[in-house]
Order: sequence, then C-alpha cells, then structure tokens
Amino acid sequence: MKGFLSRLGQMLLVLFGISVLVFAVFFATPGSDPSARIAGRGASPEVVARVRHAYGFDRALPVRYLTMMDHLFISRNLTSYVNHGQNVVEEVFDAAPVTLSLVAFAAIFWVAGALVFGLLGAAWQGSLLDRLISILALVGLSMPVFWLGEMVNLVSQSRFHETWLFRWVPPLGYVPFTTDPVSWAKGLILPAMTLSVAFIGLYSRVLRTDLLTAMQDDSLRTARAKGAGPWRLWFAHALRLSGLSALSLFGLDFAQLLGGGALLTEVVFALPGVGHLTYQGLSTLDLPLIMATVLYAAFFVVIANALIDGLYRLLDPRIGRGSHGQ
Amino acid sequence: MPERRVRAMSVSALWEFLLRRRSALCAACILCLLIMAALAAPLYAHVIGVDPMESNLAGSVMRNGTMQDVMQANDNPLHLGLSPIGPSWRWGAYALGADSQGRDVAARLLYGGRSSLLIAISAACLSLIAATSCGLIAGYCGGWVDLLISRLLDILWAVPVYLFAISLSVVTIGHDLSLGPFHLSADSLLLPIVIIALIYVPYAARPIRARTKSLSNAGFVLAARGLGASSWRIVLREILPLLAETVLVLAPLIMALCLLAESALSFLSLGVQAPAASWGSLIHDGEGLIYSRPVVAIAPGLAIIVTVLCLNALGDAAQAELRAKGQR
Repeated sequence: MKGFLSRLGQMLLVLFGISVLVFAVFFATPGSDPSARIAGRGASPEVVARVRHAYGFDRALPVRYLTMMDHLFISRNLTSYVNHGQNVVEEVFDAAPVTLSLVAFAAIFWVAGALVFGLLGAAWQGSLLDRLISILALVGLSMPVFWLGEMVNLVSQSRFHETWLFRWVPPLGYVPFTTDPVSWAKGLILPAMTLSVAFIGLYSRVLRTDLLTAMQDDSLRTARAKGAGPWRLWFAHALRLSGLSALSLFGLDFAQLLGGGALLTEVVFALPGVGHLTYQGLSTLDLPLIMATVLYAAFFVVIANALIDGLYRLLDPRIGRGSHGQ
Repeated sequence: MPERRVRAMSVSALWEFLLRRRSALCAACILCLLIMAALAAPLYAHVIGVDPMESNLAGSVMRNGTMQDVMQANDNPLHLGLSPIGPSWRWGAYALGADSQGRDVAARLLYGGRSSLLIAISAACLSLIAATSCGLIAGYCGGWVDLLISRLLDILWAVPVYLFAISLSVVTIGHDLSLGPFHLSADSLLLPIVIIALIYVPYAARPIRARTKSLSNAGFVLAARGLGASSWRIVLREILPLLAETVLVLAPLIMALCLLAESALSFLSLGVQAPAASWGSLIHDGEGLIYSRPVVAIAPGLAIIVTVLCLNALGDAAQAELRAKGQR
C-alpha cells in the first residue's frame, strides 16, 4: 500500500512536471510572443499591447499557468486562438476515436508480425531465413514512416489501383465505425500496416533476442529434460518468459502512438485523428490546440506507464518485493 | 590504468573492429561515400551548371539532342497544367528530373544530404555530450542529485519525442531569435540541431547513468578514492574513459534517430527552411508531385533509408562487439 502511494505520488509529480515543461515551451521560450502572432504580421505596438491584455499575456506566468490548467482540466472550456469559440478539449476528444482505431489496428499487425518473425528467427537461429528476417527488420526500422506512407499511397491509389490487388482500397480519409464498419476497416488497413512496419522490425528483433536468452534459462532446460516437445517448449515456456519485457515495451509504444506518435501517418493518410489535429494547430500556430494535444499525449504515456508497471508486478511476482530492481 | 584508457579510445581498436565485422565495414564505407557525395554537392552543381536553390520555371535543358523545357505541358487533350521534366538515364543536368519549382532534383538531393547529415551528426554529438554529463553527474553523485536529474529525464521521456520536437520548433523556428548576446537568424541550422539533440538526451542518459553507477562501485574506483584522489580526478580520469565504450556504441544509434527526427521535422516544414533543402523537406516537395513525378519523393526517401540502415547496422555490430567483449 505504501509502495502504491509512493508510485502515485511520483506519477503526479511527473504529470505536474510535464505540464510545467509544456507550458514553459509555449509561453516562456525566449522570442515566442503569442500576442505578436495573434495580432498578425506588422501589427502596430498598440494593437499588440491590446491583444496581450485581452488574452491575459500581461499577467504573471504562474497565474497564467494556473488559468490554463483550469481551462484544460477543470472547466474544460479552453478555446482556440484561431477559430474563436472553438472548444479545444472537445476537439481532442472528437479526434481520439480515429487515433484509437488506427493504433489498435496497427497493434494487431505489429504483434502478429513480431510474433511470426521473432519466432521464425529464433527457431532457425543463424540460418538464411534468420539473416533475411533480421535484414528486413533493420530495413523496416530504418524507414521514415511518412515516406513509406507516400509510397503506399502512390502504389495503392494511383499506379496499381486498377489491379486486383488494390481495387478495394478506398480513397484517403476516415469513415466512422458507426456509419459503415466495412469502409471503416477498409480505410484503416493500409495506414495501420504502414504504421506497424517499424514496430514489427523493432519487436521481432527484441523478441528473437529474448527468446534465445529464455532458451538458456534453467526452467527451459528442465522442461526439455521432462520431454516437452518443441511446440510446447517455444510457445508455453520460452514465449511466456520473454513476453514480459516485450509487453512493457508494447504498453509504452502503444501509449506514445495514442498520444500523437501517429501524427505523421495520420497526416499522410488524411485521417482526422489527434495527430492530425496537432498538425492543424501547427499550420495555424494555434497554441491552445497544440498545448492540449501535447499535454493529453504526455498524460496518456504516464498513465499507461503506471498501468503497465502494475500489470508487470501482477504477472511477475519476483519484482516489486524488496529492492526496486536497481 | 593508462593502458585501459588507450585501448578504449584508440584508432587501431576501431580498425580491428571494422575488419572483424564485415557488416560494420560495409556500413562505414557506404556512410563515407554518402558524406563525400554530400560534401561534393557544390562541385556537382558547378559541373552540371544548375542552381539548386533558385527556381527555374522558364529554363530549358538539352536532352536527346533537342532542347526541352524544364516545365512541360501535360499530355492531356487540352494540355492543361505543367509538369516538371522527368528523370533520364543520361549523365547531365536534370538526371533525376525537376521539382515543382523547376530545380534540379539530383543537385538538391546532394545539398539536402549536406544539411541532413550535418544536423544528424552535430545533434548526435551534442545529445551525447549532454547525456554523458547528466548521466555521469547523476550516477556518480547519487542521492538527491541523482533523484533530481532522473526525475527531470523521466519528465522529458514521458513527452512523445516528435511532439516535443514539434512544439519546440513551432515556437522558435521561422523568426529571428535573440538570446542575450546571441542572435540566430530564422534559417539557422542551429535550432533544429539543439532541438533534436535535446529530445534524445534521456535516451542516452539512462544507460550512461546505469553504467556510471556500476563503475563507481568498482574496485579501481574505490582504490583511487582510497589513495586520496579527488572526485574530479575519479570522474574524469577513471570513470569517463571507461564510459567511452558505452557512448561510442550509442553514437550511431542516436545519430540514426536524429536523422529520422530531422527528416520528420523538415517534412512538416519545421526543420530546414526553404529554399535550403534537407532530405525531409525534399520529400515534402515531392508530396505534391507524387502521382506525376514520384522520383522527386522516392530519391530522398531512399537516401534516408540507406543512411539510417548503415547507422543501425554499425550500432548493432558495435553492440554485439561489446557483448562479446563482456563475455570474454
């Protein structure tokens, strides 16, 4: 119980730190004067001063920080600087399902891909197949996701759209699940695959290494001595041993993607998710919008981190009893 | 002590490593070629006779014995709209075609490589220097200093890297910046370098801190302390040389990450500012032409992949080497 409370306290501290950091980035960075931006290029000093007063930029930074947090989390009525009256918090929550669907789809692909390639690579360690997989994984890791997305668009929307392979691909954009589940799924398959390529590369490598380490474990030797077949050995024993570290990695990456890590994919495939919203905020320099998306993203990561940590402790009773693993 | 330091840092050890690992040698050669090509960009532009920064919409170029316009009418029935000239297999101007401003894509690719590689290398160095200082101080001092630095790094770590970089770029890039005596012009490359370096500090600082922590309890450090060496001496002359390995192994991986981050920022027009080019901004330029002249976007993407692939291969080999050394 004491451990739980101290974890909670640490989490709150990190959340507070992030909010201060993000606020400082947007409003206290030297040279970034939001009132000059809102007033527009070449505005007279009086106009800038009036804007500064109207938006409250002339008040002390801590006061502005507190008002901002109040608007974001308590009264939840932070409005955009660009589209006046547009509620930023609502916008973020409207975009969240799009990102969630995209990332969930991608997670399915990347877990499946990583399992297949990781197991194949580990089972035939050192073979030609293993080498091929490791090279492919490295290539996947090295690809900029936005470039891959453009290539996918080029192939599936234009060059080979008329062939049987890509005839089913709908035009770019997003169809909500409630409108038409089939087009929802169709529209998300290619973006999710694009997003998952780098993760398949990363996770198959991690899984392969972990599996090979697990194979050296005493429990595996015992299982082999007791006559467990190769299937049982790999799936029931090795995978269970090595799955834990991959799981904690997975939770972190999943949260990062939900929180806006999928920005580039969303932009390239014109999916109106949280990342795309951030991108819109960027092009119009809408500070409240960017601040809201970045903060929600960071909070996602911290909370997911804590959840994964708890899950990890539940699944692996060896840690958390005593020393904190240092 | 001295011979250990020499072994960790020497050039001949690096050579031996490259010769032992063929993939590392291959990757290092390709990287050298890429850097040389990027350095030769002005030479190429001069020999070919094109200006990679100036738009050239009215220009024409000799191809297949005839003069052809750089911007050509589309071959639809009404000849509406213009497309830039496509690639050709012959050596000469516009070998990779032109972009929407009529500029030579091949020359811009080389110039883009200059800024991309420059940013990636300097950002990686800066990031590693900052991470080494943080990790060294946190790991050696322990106590509340360690707690403070670790918490700060945790906070940085929890903000998604690209979002953090994007936020910093939005508020700083695109207008002149004055920081006391320093003045940065809007198109300075220093800003993307510092921003990208900053976001990857926690990535490298964590392993460095862990290594410092284990080293500062090692026998030779205790011996040095017992002999009355000062903390400065212990940190700089006993621990730092042994950290060099950890840092060197991280270097290619961090550089790969920096290159990818730079290309993403430039793709969002938040990195290198026009008319200057980087591989990311070239992909952004090619986005509008993707269906008619895909090579404009394909070429810089391939350049990024090859570079990052080589860096990752180099990092992998170095890591394997370190592991093998640990087992020996």
